[in-house]
Amino acid sequence: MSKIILLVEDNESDELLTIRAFKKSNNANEVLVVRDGAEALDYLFRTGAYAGSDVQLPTVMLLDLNLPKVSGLDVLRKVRSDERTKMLPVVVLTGSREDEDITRSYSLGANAYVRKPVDFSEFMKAAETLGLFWLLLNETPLGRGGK
Amino acid sequence: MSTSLVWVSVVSCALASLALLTISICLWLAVRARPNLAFITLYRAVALMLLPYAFAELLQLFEPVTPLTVALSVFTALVSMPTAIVLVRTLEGISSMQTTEQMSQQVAEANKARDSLAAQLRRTEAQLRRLGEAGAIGLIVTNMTTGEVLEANDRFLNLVGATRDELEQHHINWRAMTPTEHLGPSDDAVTQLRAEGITSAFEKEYLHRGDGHRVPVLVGAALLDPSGERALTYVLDLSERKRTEAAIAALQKQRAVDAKFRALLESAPDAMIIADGAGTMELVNEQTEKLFGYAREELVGRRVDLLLPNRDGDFSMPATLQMGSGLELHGRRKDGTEFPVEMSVSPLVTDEGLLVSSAIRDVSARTVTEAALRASNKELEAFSYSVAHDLRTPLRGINGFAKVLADDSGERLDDEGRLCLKKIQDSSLQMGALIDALLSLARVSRSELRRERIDLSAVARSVSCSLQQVDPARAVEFCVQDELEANTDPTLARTLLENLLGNAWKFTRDAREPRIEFGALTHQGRCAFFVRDNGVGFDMAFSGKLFTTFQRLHTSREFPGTGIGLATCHRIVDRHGGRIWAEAEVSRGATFYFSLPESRAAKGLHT
Repeated sequence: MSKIILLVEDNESDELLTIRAFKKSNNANEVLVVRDGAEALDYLFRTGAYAGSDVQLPTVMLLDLNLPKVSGLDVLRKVRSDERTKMLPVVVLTGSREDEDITRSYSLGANAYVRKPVDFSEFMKAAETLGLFWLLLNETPLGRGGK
Repeated sequence: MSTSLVWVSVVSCALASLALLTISICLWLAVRARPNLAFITLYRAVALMLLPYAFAELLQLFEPVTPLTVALSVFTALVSMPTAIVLVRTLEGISSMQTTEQMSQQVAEANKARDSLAAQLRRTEAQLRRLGEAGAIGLIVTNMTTGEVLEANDRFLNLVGATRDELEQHHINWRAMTPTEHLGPSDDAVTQLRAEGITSAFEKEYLHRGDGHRVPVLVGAALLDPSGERALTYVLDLSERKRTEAAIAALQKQRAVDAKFRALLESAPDAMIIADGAGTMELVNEQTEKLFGYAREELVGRRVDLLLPNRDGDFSMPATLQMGSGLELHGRRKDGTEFPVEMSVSPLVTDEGLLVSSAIRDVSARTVTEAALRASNKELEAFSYSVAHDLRTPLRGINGFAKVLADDSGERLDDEGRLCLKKIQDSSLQMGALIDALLSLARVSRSELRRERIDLSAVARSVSCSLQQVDPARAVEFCVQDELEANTDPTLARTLLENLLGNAWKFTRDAREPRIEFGALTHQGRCAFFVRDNGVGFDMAFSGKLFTTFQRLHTSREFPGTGIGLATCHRIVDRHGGRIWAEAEVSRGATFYFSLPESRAAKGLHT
């Protein structure tokens, strides 16, 4: 079973560029995209559009903070408060470098916080490093052939 | 007997009889006129005795005439006639003459008048002496030419601090005691004295012989002897009058000050209240009336609690309280409504005891403004966040897709096309840097200042390492002085050094042996840190623009930059209450100095 990256991203350009960056660095993994916080929760908890579907939990979730409907931080809060997802590795991937965002993300249980750089070359390096760490080096309880 | 002889006899007898009768009457009258004459009885006896002789002469007419009787009658007439005439004349004199009593009475009266005059004179003299000795007036006799004081009363001696011994030893001279500026008028007075015998009164000063203080006096003089050299001078002490005048002047000045004080009080923008230690209002200004809605008369004499109901304790707060010191109070208007006030209190020590002066300001408008400001700040924060997050997103797109295009299709483009793509990427990066710098600047102003003991030397080394890592190809010599400490915000301290060392790094790019130094020295008695480089430097003529946002002294073609870094540094230092300044020379490097309160160098400073 391949490892899945769940990308929660509302901006189309960012989505395309992020996928490209991951594809360039690691072709083996699948990047699933959900476009707002509500959809992310539906996916993770198999509700709404994903009700009854047979989707598997991602190896890592890349979470933007500034999202329509349900904000990234709310998604994080729900993920951490649910038994099924409380150990899911969550990397906050956002444009903000505000101290408040960083602090709140970590206090809600984020595993990492990465700021998206403007320079795409830099971003590709970041994506490569992220993929290398979370998909190859890091061991997770959910990664071992979870549902 | 001849007839002629008979006639001679008749005439002489008649004349003799008349003369004797006259003598008798005259004697009698004289005795009556002067009853206290000696031998008065004798005079009367002679008068009576002469009467019969007068009749006897008349009887002679009827006697027979003989030559002898005729001769006797003629002799008697010749003797008695002049005697009668003399007596009549004497009697006239005696009747007009004063009596001895009258004369002695007159003498007595004259004596009495003389005695009264003498007594009066003695009284006057005594009065004068008393006047002289009583100390009201100083009196001196002086030699006009030499100025020596020949005689003086105690009053004068006391006035100028001289002793009688000194006077007797001829040591007192009014010229010697007269201040230079008074010599002219004094000499004029002497001239007037010589010409007119008297001087007009004039004011002058004497130098006290004891402590040299000036004694203000009124003097006037008169020549004692018109031909001589001596003058009598009276000296009236004006010290008391001068003191009174000074006191009056001071009082007038005080009144003027009081008037100004009142004007100031009235024109004050705050409600000003002066109360006594017990909090009873003594003085309020117009603003107080306006603010609280009371008339002045309704407030004076009442307690401050009327206006400031929730004020704790009494009004006799001895300490000074500054406006805005955080004391939250509410004022109560006459209509009962309350409003937020801020007050300052300062004690006034006066002759009438401790007064408390307070200024009360209605801060309801400011409370509203503060709320608006808070809202505005929140909005600004939201805007900053939006800039941070949302403005960067499209930039990532621009940069990212330009890169994708260059990577995927670069080969199909000509050189110019590829250059355009490169420019798009560079521009987006530049804008990203600008946004980051602006956010950093905003963060400096917005964030809470957290002061800690920071080892600036360690921060400088850490920053220099980061710079070296970003551009490992460059060889720059970093010299960081050890143990430089400051009480500063850790984040802002790092931002400050990142900017200053980053600039030094950037502008030493073309230096042959680039060298960057971080140290501290003493500047105007305070510790000042510095970042020195041997880079391109700048023209000091433009130093005024250094710390202004978006002002750059180099084009971005020469050196990339945002024009915000030094503005950020300025704001960081400013927030700490320090100062930042620079010295530079074109092609000779630049030195940026900054001071932070409570900073020090553990190993001593250069000066």
